[in-house]
Amino acid sequence: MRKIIAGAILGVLLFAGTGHAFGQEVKTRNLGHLSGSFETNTIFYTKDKLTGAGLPKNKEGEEYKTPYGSANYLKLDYQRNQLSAGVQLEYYPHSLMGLPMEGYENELEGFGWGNLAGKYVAWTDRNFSVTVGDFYEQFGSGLIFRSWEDRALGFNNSIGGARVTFNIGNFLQGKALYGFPRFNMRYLDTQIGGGDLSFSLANALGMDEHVLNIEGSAINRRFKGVPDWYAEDQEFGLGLYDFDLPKNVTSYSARAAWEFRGWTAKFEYDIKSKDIINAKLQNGNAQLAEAGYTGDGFAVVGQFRRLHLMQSRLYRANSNDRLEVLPNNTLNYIPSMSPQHAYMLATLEPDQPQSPSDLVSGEIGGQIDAFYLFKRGTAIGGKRGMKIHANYSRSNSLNIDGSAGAFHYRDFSFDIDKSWNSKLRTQLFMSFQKNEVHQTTQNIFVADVTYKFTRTFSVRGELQYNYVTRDILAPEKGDWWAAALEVNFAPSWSIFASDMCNHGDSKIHYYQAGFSYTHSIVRLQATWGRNRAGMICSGGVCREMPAYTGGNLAMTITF
Amino acid sequence: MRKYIYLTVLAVFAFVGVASAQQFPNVEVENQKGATISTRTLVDGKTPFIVTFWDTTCKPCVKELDALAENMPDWLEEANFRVIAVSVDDSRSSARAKSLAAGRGWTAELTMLYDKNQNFKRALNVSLTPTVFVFDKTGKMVYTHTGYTPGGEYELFKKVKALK
Repeated sequence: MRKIIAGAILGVLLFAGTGHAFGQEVKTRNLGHLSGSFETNTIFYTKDKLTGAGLPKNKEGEEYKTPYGSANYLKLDYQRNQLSAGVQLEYYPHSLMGLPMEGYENELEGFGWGNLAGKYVAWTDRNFSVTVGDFYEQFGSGLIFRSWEDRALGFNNSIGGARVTFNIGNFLQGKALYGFPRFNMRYLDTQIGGGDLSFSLANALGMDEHVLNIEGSAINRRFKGVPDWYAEDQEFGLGLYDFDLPKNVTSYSARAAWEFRGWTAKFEYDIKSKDIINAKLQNGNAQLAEAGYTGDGFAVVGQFRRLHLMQSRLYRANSNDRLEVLPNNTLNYIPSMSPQHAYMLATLEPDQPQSPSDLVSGEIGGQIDAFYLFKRGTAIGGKRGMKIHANYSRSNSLNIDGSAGAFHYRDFSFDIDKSWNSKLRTQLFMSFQKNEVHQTTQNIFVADVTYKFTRTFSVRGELQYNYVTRDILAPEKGDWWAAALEVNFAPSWSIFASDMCNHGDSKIHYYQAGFSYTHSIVRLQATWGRNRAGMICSGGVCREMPAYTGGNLAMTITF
Repeated sequence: MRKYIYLTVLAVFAFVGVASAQQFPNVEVENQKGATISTRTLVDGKTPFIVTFWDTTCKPCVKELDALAENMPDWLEEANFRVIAVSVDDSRSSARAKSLAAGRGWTAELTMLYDKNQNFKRALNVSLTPTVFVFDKTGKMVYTHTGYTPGGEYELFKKVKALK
């Protein structure tokens, strides 16, 4: 029987293939299009006395005999006219250390239906679409609702359910959805329902040069699966609560956006109904504003944001008769506003948005970015132009009564990018960071030089120094230096090595060396190195990662 | 058994080959002006196009887009094509992405799109940035490459020129 089924499937596929081979003759037959990707991120761990890096452990707390962690994703999508369908298969034979979060690693292991983490069928017509299955969605800036995937952090809060979107003319767009959020390899009992409407006033009035949108959204989180012991005086996290949990928590967002010939102004106001935050029932609200101008070779944009008890966490009843806030999941997106830097020494103490506590309800802050291009042929731009960028970000905590509180984070960064001729390019970067998390003040200076020997052979070098003037709670005290060298043979090969060293108290060298190779649809990267414990951030979410030393093999295939 | 595996692989690849504008992903993204457009409108039936995914924290991406913007005026004398640069920055940095694109002078040479919740990125199965695709005028993918090293842009131009 199995053979017959296999034969039948093959027959269909081959028929499809033949149709393609004689494409000219069967032009009218549309067989659709299959695309996909495969990604693996596999780390082999070794012990490292210097950093205290250990080996991954199984559920029983014993070290694995083969100390490795591996995250694997196979994604396939099929599309034929309005119809699309797809799957995402995930497999973690052993989880990567620290992902999805320390203490939760083993939740990803094993193999079952949960590994079919993404599956959907969708119909997208001109004026409407329907999706059934797992999907991602965001309302506005995501402050009340965002569902997304970030593999680098082992994060995925896709919604399993159904979604409908529609357009009326070119002036009204709407979305409605219902489903259950994903938590690691399963769905939570929590029900999510919501809708979003966007009205384009500019299109309705025929103001072609303008973008003028009025938007609104609502999202409801209904806590289902209330256990029998759910009553008064139950423990919630670390505290006791003596009130009824709200079954429904609803957030609303109202937004306006205007853009005209490079000018932009946006405003968002959000409110959130009573929710458990820090073992108390509290309302939340947020305000976000943005204004700026972008021209040809010039841009300046400022943003302001105030967050008051906006966290929208997901929780579940655990086996110990406790309601557990899920540390690795959220229903909305509250990123920090400051820029995320790429240079090693500029990411030692990243900005993290404030979490509510007894005294703090959120944060208030802003940032301003300015870019300028000195064009070719000008006195400063020279033959090939020069680009400069500056950013200033600052945030204070917000007191529990909603007033501005103590200083939290400040970063002033500046970079200059200059091509001197077709061979030499230099970049200078500076960042002055003051962070209250570990009470640090750091001044980072980077020189980054690329030299092209031929059209496709180049060498890049980086020198970095971090002059630390305050390191009260820093895990490693004193100044840092770092250097990196990269040899590139375009478009396929890159060989790299780097070292980062604290020359205050720890004197530890955090070294990395490896190569990457790209050919056609495949990219392969192998790295060996010592990694520091600390926060890794991607977008707005940060994870506390343990130190690890070992080899990393990463491969992606896209087709 | 092995025969079946080979045949399946063969058939799947034959299957994969069929593509047209109708098969190009249909998701909504924002353009530089802030208006929402459907990605299917990128297929115009007249010119091939390069789609490259980038974000503000990816240094090789910025270098690749600098190189593309710098070479476009010369390349357009030899071949007629478009470059579509898709930012996958989320709401933390999408405003910065728009300013960065304008402030580095890319907007004059490249078509900038903003994919704030990575729907287009997912639809094209992009795992890392930068990932670049070359599509022919009907929307059929003819080349893909992940990562950028200086000089990698010439390979892209070679591929797109061959589509003339």
